[in-house]
Amino acid sequence: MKQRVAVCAVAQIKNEPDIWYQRFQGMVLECFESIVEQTGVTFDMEKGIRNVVTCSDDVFDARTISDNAVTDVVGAHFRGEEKVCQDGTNALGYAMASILSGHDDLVLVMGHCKESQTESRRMCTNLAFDPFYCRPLGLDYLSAAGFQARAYMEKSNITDEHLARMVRRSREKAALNPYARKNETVTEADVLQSPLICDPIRRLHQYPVTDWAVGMLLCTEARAHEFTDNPVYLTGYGNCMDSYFLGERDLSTSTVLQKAARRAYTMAGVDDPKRFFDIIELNDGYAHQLPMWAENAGVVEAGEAAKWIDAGGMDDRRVNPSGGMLNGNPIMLGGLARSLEVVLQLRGEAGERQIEGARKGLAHGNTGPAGQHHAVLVFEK
Amino acid sequence: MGYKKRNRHVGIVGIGETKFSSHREDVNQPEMIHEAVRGALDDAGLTMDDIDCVVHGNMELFEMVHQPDMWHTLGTGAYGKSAFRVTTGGTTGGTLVCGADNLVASGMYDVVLAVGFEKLQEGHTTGGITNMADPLWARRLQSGALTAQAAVKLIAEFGEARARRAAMTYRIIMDMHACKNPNAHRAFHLDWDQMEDLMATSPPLIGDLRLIHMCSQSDGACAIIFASEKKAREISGKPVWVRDHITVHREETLNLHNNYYPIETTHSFAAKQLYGRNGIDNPLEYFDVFEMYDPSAWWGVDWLRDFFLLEGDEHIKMVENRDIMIDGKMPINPSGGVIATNPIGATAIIRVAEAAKQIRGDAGDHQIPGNVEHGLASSFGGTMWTVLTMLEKETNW
Amino acid sequence: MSEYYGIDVDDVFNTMASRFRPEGAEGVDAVFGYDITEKGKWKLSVGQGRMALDITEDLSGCDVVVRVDEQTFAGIIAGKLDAMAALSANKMKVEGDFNLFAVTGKIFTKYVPPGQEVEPEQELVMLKRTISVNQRFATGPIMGTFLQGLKEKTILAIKCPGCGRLQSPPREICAPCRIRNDSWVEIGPAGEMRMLEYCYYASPDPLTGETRETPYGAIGVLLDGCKDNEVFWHLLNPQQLNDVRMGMVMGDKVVHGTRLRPVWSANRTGSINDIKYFEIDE
Repeated sequence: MKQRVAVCAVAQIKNEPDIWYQRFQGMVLECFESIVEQTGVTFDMEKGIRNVVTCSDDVFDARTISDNAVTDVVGAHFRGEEKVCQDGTNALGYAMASILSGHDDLVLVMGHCKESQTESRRMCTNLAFDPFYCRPLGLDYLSAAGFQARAYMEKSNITDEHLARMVRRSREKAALNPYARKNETVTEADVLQSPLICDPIRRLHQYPVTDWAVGMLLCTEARAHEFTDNPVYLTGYGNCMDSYFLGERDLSTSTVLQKAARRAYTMAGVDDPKRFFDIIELNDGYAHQLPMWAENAGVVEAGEAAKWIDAGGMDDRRVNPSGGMLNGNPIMLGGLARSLEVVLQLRGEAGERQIEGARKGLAHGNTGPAGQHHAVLVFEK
Repeated sequence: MGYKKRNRHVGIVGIGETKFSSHREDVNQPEMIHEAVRGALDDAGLTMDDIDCVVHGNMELFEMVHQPDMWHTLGTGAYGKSAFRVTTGGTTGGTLVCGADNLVASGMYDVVLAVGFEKLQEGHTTGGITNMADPLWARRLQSGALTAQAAVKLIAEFGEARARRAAMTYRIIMDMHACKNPNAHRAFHLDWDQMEDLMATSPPLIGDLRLIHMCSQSDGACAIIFASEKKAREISGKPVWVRDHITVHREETLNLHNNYYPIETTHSFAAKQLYGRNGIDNPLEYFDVFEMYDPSAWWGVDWLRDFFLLEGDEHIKMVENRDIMIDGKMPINPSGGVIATNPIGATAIIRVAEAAKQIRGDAGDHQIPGNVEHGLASSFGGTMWTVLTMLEKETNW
Repeated sequence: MSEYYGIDVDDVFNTMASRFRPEGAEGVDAVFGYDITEKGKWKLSVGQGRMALDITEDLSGCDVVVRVDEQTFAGIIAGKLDAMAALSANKMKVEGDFNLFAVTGKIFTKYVPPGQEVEPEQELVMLKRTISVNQRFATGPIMGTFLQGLKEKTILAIKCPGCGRLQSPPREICAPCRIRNDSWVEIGPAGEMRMLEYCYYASPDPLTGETRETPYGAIGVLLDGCKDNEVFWHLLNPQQLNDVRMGMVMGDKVVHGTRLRPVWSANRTGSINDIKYFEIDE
């Protein structure tokens, strides 16, 4: 690939439990204005943004064509707009392809989701299952994660105590992140006493209901200087889809995350993911997923996650300084939150969370029940 | 810097369509998709092993399945593959083509399968469309995709009699085309001598928009396989090249109730941009076939002017002179178009598939006579959005 | 005795009593008329789980009448022709409540011509489910201000600081300018009608499942203070559907539509229903 794809600007609002005081349009507009202000980008058909890639979900928005509502606030009036209906890492991957194809120089990526709008996330995700068998059984993304947690924990020797440690750490990290959802700090004892919602998953092991919006401006390398003097390059992207029936998957592992990661690493020329990255953001909607994704993305040796956590590996390897999805990002946007943290870190704009000299980052996102689909991104300075 | 040269060419090497109907109770959603996927693979002489990436799309609130690409892996064959899901309402099928094209052109993937589908009988279509409207306002006002706006406009400009005849002529022609397409959902065998009767007695839906003018609600799926130029030439003896595409959306408010003209439509904007940057001065001369996304006969007539950048009543004359018939000067929808067949998530990708078949010369009974080199396909959806795609027989641009 | 598709239409009617399904007729209380062109007319009364069929010339008093030629009717009975397609192609006409006509499909078992083997048809099991997940839609401050205005019988429009365009209901951004709208203007409450959508067909509200009564009129009104394309979308008093004139601007040609004014609901809660509809103000 001759030209790389640069991230010129990122923008977000604060992750919150209930943005009752704004509708999507207002949330997205703030991000839009920030990007325009940071970069001075226009929507000129020759030199500006001609295409926007959005990320949102019809069921959670309770709107057919959920991107319909935000066409104007993403600047797509008489411009292109394409909605990626998966975790936002794929919106970045698709935007990357649009730029590398030569079809566009600039692509604006904007995402929104208001989990607080629906009475029940579980009723929504129950609808992801086939109407004949799985749905009537009452499967939803929580119970799928429960099956996965049980299988993975048995195989990996990750214990309830490990999970407690991860939740406590996630909140400590997030407390340093002004845009993270404001949660109570918890002790490990608090987590261990948190009620079981889907054994072995406790309430505090699950990412809390969150509303958020985010935007990023991607650009072909040659023109990045027009919009920023601090570009971060998206050098690798890979995704992969697993099979559908939970019973057909080995839930204790994720071969598709392995594949997605390998595709991204090949593209970016990463030989050893255990040593390559200065910062790693994994999309842990559930506490058990942090070590699980770490093993399958190859940043920790398979089967070693428990020892790794015990040895303080999460801090050594600079994993999830943002607090991760576990602290709270809405469904669909987790991967964008991971990517955004990586970009800020690589730009040196991560404030109190800054990892000194960060130049290479990994961001991950997942979609579907128990991570049926994974995407991995490699960012470099 | 205007429009840039693309990284590499992309060719269509396989096409698969299900029979479109309102009674596909014999298959579930993944099974129906599988029919189209199998069709495309067989057409291309490929297996799933040859596919790098699957792009999936539909309007999920019609069937009320959340993130349906998960379940549909059973039918798309996406297991272990890269997979995307892109949706933009009615234009979804067109976006799938743009998406697949971008993905292959980027160099990130060599062979991409795009599949669009819908099983409208499993939900309530008009209710599903009304659900796109703002819940605090328009949801109380919108009636799905139904509007008499185009009829009011055409009648105001050209008079009741002429406008109504033009819409009905267009409708009958579309049906005649559909009768030659064994996959089409509805083919009524309408005859010219039914014109007066239909105009007078077809049940009115809204104003002058009558049942006979309005598109189908269909079940069906369509899959297209795209490959990089090198692979395309290896796989297919007659790859169809995707030359360019453009997507033009607009704000959420519909301006169907404004009776204010002229206004710029996304159709004409898309056409001007696309032709302009490809150096095409006379689209009517240049293109050999146009598969237009025509949700109603009134819109079909009205939009000819937008898409071909015509003036005055040139577009009405095209219909009156029957230039738009399969053997006419500018064949429109030799497949029968959207009025005959409309499985919404697939409808726009079917336009590209049908235009590609014409270029390949294997559309069977509804094949346009002569050499078909330059094809145009449009998508429509959302709040009057457009996707416009250009297809070529040779990579000669 | 003529036959199409192997079906003798007289026999279809003669066997209705024996094919009647009381369980399918539960809750049905209606009179159906069949006018089979040049063949005959039948009146089918269904009520209290029972039916009565008369051959008659007089189909007055029927809740719904279907008029169709013999061939098309036979084709539909035989399952070779689709009823909706026949309707669309004008081969069949339904007068009265169309949805009621569809009920006849459940009242009888399938007609099988005598002598033909009854193929054990695979039963199509249908599970109907209304999926309902409650939502709490936020208005945001912009839509919120507007809806609050309605509560106070005021129609507000938001204005773009760039091009001056007015939008009502308001939006956060002016789409062509891509800048935030920032000031408010009171418009109307009266204005002139532009477009009228005379709706004979209503779609069910996806949130409540209710279907509006037809015919109804969805309108675009150019409220006083607005110009060009700044049209307000609402409803017309259904009693006045035939008394109004559309306005239009087509280049230089301007036609003024009927003047309208809003009829406010007595009980206003800050919603689109605060305006019941618009009525003639001339």
